[in-house]
Amino acid sequence: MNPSLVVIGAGHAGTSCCAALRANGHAGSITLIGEEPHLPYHRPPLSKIQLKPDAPESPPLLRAETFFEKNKISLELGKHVIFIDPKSNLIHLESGKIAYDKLILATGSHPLLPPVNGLQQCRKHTIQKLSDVRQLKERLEQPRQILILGGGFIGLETAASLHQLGHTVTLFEREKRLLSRICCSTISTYFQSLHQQQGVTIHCDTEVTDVHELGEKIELTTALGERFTGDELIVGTGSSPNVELAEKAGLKLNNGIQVNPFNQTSHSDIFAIGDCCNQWNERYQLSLRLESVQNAVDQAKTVAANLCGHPIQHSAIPWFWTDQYDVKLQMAGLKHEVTHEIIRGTPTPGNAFSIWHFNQHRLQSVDAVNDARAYTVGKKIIEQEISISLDNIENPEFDLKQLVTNAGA
Amino acid sequence: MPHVTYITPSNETITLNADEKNLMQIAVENGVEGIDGDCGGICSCATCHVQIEPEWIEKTGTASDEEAGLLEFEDHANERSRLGCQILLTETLDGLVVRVIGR
Repeated sequence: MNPSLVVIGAGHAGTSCCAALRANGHAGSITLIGEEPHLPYHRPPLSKIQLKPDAPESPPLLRAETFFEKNKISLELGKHVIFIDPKSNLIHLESGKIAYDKLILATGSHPLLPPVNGLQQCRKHTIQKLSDVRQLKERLEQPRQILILGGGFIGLETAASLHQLGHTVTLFEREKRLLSRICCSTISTYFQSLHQQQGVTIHCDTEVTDVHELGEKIELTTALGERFTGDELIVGTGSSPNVELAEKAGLKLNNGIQVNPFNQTSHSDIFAIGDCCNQWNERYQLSLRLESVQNAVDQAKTVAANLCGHPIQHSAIPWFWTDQYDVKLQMAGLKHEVTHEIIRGTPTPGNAFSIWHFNQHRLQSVDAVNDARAYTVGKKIIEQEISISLDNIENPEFDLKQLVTNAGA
Repeated sequence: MPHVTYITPSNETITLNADEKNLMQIAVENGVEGIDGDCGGICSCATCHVQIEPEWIEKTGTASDEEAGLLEFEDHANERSRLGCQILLTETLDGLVVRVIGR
């Protein structure tokens, strides 16, 4: 018997999972349910090229429409799931019910609003869905004063894109430095200089306490009582996992839907992948909920293999990237229990460089700015747990390739 | 509209038409075996490794330094290896033939 599989969530995780199920030879039915009406699309361009006035109406698709037809993947787009009944293996939609043998939750995450007075009611934008970006673009037909809350990837990428389009951007970050959740202080300083050189105003260590509409404008007040006004307010202050369906179904939660190394939830017929799930990472000995395309795709492949009779555990090294102006930051691994770091190159705008984070002699993570080679070598070293001599890395003349080839020899 | 032919790891030959899209995007949208394009085409993952057939390498050009940085450690990489996401299919490349390396 070929089991009927249903995937809830048509983002990177859900869509990749359907494709990987067919690639692994699953012969039963596959249904992909998505809340948005559009065919599944790439999300990273939303904060980048998709903001440009001449950008195509829709971002690039994850798969062509014909792919779903050819592979007999039924699309249920624009559909909202009300609840899941795990006892009778039924999904209740507003428009009816769908039965499943195995269910994969790829419900993603939603933007988190910080506890700022007036923010709930105030006119604002988040950058998570195609409709968010379309709405924002309607307001950007002439040069605007943009206020951005949050100095993480989304806030900074949006700041760079809008600045390049001729808008005036002011960004507020509550922490002492930008990107504090995911980057070391050298990278934070680098991105702050980069943005300031371009002409974006950045206020770190600044808590916004109140926002409200003032006619057509928006005014915000900081903890120190300073006031700023702008035309549009954009909020990029992190995300929260979409766990409502899982919670109502009685699945175990832990900052996301708790899954085992096979991405199986506390219910044996239900799996969870991508932003919505939390999984123990053996390499770093950490419980992790990651918000990245790579994690979504890797976990999708893990579940697909397992459901097709090839038991594998999810073990990929996390990696992330961001594009701002002409700078690409690529990061492999996690900065967990770092005892020291080595900088290769000069970490100032205009230069390529990389930062290597160690726990004693073990490489934990590499952050590479405009240096794909350092990123690739670092990722290989982390994956293969190669021990390396630290002195070599600092020497800009040293060919990084040797670190991997020597170890393999 | 220009067309491109992929020879997959299991020796299947697939010809597709597309305008102004890159070789990874065309392959992923249509489910060509061996091309995943996990990073979405920003030259970060090397899951779209292809080898250009010798008669086309002059027109496509060889890998940029950034691409080479990712390709160096891939199995079966050679001087005609490219990342599909870095090759835009234009009229001048109409008829292009590439071999998908896969992982």
